[in-house]
Amino acid sequence: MVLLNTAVSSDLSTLIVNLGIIILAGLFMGRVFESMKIPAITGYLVAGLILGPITHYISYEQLAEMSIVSDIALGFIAFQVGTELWFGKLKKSGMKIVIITIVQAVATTTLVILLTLPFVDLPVALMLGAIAAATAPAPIIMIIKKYRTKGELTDTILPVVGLDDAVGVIFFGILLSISITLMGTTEAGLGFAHMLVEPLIEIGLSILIGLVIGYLSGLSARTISQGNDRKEKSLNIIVVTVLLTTGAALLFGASPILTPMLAGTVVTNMINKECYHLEEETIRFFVPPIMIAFFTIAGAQLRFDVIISAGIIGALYIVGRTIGKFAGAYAGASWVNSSDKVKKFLGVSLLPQSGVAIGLSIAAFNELAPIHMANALIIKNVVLASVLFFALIGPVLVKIAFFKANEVTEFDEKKVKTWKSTTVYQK
Amino acid sequence: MEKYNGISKITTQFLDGELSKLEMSYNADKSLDLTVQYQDDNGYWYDYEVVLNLETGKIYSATHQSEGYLNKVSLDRKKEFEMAIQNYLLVH
Repeated sequence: MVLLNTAVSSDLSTLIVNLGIIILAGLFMGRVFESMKIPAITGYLVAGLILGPITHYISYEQLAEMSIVSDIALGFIAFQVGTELWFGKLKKSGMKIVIITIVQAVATTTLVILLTLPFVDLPVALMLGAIAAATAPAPIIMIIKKYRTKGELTDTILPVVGLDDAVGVIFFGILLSISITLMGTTEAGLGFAHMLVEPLIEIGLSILIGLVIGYLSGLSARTISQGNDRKEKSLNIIVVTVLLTTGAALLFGASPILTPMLAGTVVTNMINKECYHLEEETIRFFVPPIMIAFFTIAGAQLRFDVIISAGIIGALYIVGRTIGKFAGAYAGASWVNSSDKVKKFLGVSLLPQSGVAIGLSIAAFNELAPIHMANALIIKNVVLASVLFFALIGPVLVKIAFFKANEVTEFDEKKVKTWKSTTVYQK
Repeated sequence: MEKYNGISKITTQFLDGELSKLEMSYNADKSLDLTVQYQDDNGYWYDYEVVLNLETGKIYSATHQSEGYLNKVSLDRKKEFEMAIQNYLLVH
């Protein structure tokens, strides 16, 4: 018994120490990447790559023991995406933005599904298609602030990006339910009604749990009065909401992504702007270590052998996503009569992909791995490798798009100096 | 309160956003930390933190970043904004 206790406590202490090392490595690489003006999330992934597949310091088995971190982090990511569906903001953005966002998301999802389907099972294609819709705002914000861009493209892209993740997560939640049903049923036993009913039950349950817990949390958030401890109270409400929705979803077979997302949407729409800001600020102070651990663990779970063997699928995902974003944004912008520059450059500007896509790929892995490990691995590795690709290439394309659209009002100092010295030289 | 309207105007002029929160902390080592939190038209929040050396009257460090754990990214510093804030704090 003593020996058993010692073994358990030794395993536990190793787990805790590893978790500390993961956060430390992620923090360090995040800072390094931030100093290079690359979003910190890319740095966390690279830190994971170093700890996992490169040095093998942390094994896949040890990473699997940290799955609780993933579940909680995913709950917070989904909750955060839900808070972006604030109806006041949507009203302000207008129907034009909603149409463009939905059209480009549908086009991207459809194209990725169609391109990858000849090479993978339908559930894998569905998952890749749904995840392809997500876009990362950080590189876009960075370019907009750096070059102080102004114009129709700038005015369109920011609200579209704000809404895009929410649309992507809704697609993902629905398609994940269908994928689970497809994977979990043998072809002989697969009837259309069964394929339809199971996802509907899962989505219905998610809506019910999300709405009820979200409503109760919203009521609690409304009671927070002004005072020194309001941040603490707000934090308690959010943490309890995320844990209850995620846990209840896992327990009752609802979606662990849609449920906290819906709760986030309900809470956000029940509170005023000041409370909303307080809620955002509170999450920001609590969540970073969980997120650093989550994204670093995601990087450590990358498997080069899977990436190499799924190379063609990864290439098709990248091609499909690029064409889908471009064509979808063009079609959406044409539908609402946007200017030519929005039609031409919006899609390219929507290519960066990061946190939400990683989160969704891990969520897909967690749900599908017990049913079909090989398919789950393909989804996770293709998305993680593509995220690294889009994290590097995306910001460059966004910059080119804004320059081509003539929306840049501030230029790099170096360029201004070069121009000045050229002028002097010419004189 | 009038006193802080100036910082609100500077934020709008140089950072294209609306001042949503202002925090100042006076440190015993003769420096002043000023955090300007602002929001753009699309609901994205940003933090601009400057540390002013009260002995020299100059800003000796500053950080500018977008908020949110998923959107967090380090942004370029805006010299014009920092100069305007520095001058404003020294006058008021």
